Amino acid sequence: MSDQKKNDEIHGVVAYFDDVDSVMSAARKVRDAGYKKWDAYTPFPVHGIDEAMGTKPTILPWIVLGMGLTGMACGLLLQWYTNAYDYVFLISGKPNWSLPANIPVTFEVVILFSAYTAFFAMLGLNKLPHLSNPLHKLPKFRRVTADRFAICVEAKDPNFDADRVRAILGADTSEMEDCPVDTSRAALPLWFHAVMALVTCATFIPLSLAVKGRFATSEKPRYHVWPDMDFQRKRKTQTGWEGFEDGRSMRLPVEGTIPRGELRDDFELYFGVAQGSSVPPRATYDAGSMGGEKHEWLQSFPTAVVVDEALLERGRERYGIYCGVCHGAQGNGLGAVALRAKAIDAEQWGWVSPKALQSDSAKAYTNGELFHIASHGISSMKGYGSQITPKDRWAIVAFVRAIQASQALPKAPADLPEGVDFEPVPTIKDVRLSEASVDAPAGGTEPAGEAR
Amino acid sequence: MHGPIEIPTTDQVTVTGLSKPAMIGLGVGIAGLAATAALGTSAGDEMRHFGHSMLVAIVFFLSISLGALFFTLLQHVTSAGWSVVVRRVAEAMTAAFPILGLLVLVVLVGPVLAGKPWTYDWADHDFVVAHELIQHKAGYLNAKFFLIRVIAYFAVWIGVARFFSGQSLAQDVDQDKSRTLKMQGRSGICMIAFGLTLTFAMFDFMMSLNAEWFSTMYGVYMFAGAFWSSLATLALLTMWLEKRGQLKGVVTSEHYHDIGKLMFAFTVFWSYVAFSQFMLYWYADIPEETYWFNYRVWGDWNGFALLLLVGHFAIPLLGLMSRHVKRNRSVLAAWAVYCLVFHFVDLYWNVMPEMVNGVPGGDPATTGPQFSLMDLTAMIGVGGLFAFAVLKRIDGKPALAIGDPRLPESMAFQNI
Repeated sequence: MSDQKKNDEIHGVVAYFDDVDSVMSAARKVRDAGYKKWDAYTPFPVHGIDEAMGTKPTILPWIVLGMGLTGMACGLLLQWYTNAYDYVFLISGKPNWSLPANIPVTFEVVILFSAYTAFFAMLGLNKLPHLSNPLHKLPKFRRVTADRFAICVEAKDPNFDADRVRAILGADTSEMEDCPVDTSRAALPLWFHAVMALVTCATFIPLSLAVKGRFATSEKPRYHVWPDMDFQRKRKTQTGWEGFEDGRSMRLPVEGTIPRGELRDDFELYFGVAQGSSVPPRATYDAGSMGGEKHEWLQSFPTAVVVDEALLERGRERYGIYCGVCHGAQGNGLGAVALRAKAIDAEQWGWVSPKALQSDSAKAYTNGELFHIASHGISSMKGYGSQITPKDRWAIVAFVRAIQASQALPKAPADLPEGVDFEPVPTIKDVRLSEASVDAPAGGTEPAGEAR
Repeated sequence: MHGPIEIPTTDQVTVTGLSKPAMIGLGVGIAGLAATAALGTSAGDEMRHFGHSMLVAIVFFLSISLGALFFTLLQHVTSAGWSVVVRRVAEAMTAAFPILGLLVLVVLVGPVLAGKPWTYDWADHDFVVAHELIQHKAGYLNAKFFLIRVIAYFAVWIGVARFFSGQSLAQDVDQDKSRTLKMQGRSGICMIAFGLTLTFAMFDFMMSLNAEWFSTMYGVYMFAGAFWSSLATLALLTMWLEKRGQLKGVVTSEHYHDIGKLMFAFTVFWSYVAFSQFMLYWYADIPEETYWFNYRVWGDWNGFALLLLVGHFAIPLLGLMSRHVKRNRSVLAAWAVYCLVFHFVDLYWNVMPEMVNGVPGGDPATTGPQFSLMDLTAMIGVGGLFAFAVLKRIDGKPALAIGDPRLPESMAFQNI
């Protein structure tokens, strides 16, 4: 009876050891005696102590593996839901649900889940955080963080018998003491619970605001967190301002001056018309207002441009960069964009197919008109004057003339049966049939639009 | 377990009686190469299959030696203690560079100098004339510069390998600790030289098979496979020496556990690099980049690509994950053999589609794998010579870096 009473008063029996060998030896004896509620305390990781203490292999790896696989499933589900189900959006012509594109995100989610699981499951399995331990009250115990080893068999163990424990530990120990139950331990004060409850509630505020913002509407303007950044004391380009007399925020060039590099005195080179004649407006080409005799369009090339092999080569290169994607590398009007537009039937939305540059109507333009079209556009084609220098635009004109001269579309065969329409412009079908002869990508890949 | 460490004596760890196995290796090697040459000349394909089979075999064993060189350098550059007991084995695996260099000169460089496209299409003048893109690369891809580069690569590898194993062997005798510092001091610059030579060598030997295609990641991809297969060889060779008695009681399951961890890590690294290379090209979808993958992944080589995905990644990922697998010698040995098989599959998939590519009328997308006895005899031939060089190096010398000051640390090493 007296022993039982004594057990209730102590937390456990602590034995101190001076070296690794004696703590290992003692640990093996405690293990063999069948105790469960006990632990060894060392200032550094001791190899082999798991085995000496009879610690079973941890199940942590299995938990991490399970959560890693869960992460894989979640990553794939997230991408399927966002890309292929909830908000279907075509990206680079790839399938909405395609594994290669999903692997990086899946990989990262696996790592995220595994890392968090490893960290928090490790804490959980070790019953951490453990804020208070009666052993911390023992002055001698403090040395286990520096140069001492300890084993504590706790009174909570069902087989605990203080005398027997002392006998087991006594063989190897240098010093032994009883650890009293920590009586100083009291309930946390009420204010602490109150503050924690408040803080916990406060963490829901941002979430609830986000939920409110998602579903509620408001007529009030948004709240400006940094008004001095949102409303800066400056005028933006192309806006009005009453501070200047003319009401513009931008200044015009001083009269009689020309910005550096903007001198356009060579009409042939810059406008494609005869020197001194009327300058065509900086607008999309329009046969009604610009064709015929309205302007003195150049028939040949400006005197400043020398038409030679180098110019044609330059033109071929620039054409490939700027024009080929729509008009096709050979000028047949079947560039990648045009093929894609045909595949998705873009004409229903007002798409105008790029012109086949060998067509008679394209051949009929003068060089000056072609230059103007390249500079300012025609119908739904936008102008390229801002991207391509005038000389390069002339090089492109020269190249277009070269491909017009080098190729001709097939004429209708003489023995064409009655009632069969002859289409001089190749259709997408023709391109697919003779892929090798057209500018289809090497390797024979299908046009992106058709692959889907 | 915590008793005093007993350093074995030099006699205990010195390997003897390997001259006969080494000579058998030499005989097998010469016979294998002779058989391959005979099969190659009788195949009537202008040595195309011979050239490509030999390339697979040479790069297979070269990558094992390169991986071992990397392992040696890595231990010095990180001042690693755990690995001292197996480092001598890795050093021995680098002894094959001279013989592999000779093979490269005869089988790969020779035909290029003679203008014969046994292996490399760009060696053929007519081929280059017909391919404008390769003409622009002629400043780099020409026979003379190729020869110079090959000599430079092997000079660096042989030099670095000789320095590190030479210092280590000398330390066995004089126990001079300053040799360790000297090796550590030079390991950094040697690592840079290793990275550059491996990358460019793999560009030259492997990537130039299809000289129009390019991938800046290719060197890293080849490195990942090289180190992976080299670790497998290291584990097998160490187990063999342990069984013979030279490393008994010195190498423990703790060391195999670490080699296994690296094998597991490089399973993932190989997959990571291989997939990164694939995904960037798949996503950008630019014809000049995708066509290399086009016939390897979507053509008749599709089965091989799937085999790699499953066999080079998924299966070893799960198989090598467990701690028990890595600590059990016979199970780890089985996985090591598995890794070597799949390193061969990887190289075969990299090289062999190019055998018909570049030949008039040849289309790798519809031809698919064409297995030949040559694939096997080339592996046996080069493998025999590799074994000869490595066994010759081990014979008569300690199988353990007995003079390394960190040997006790390594022998006492334990995973937490």
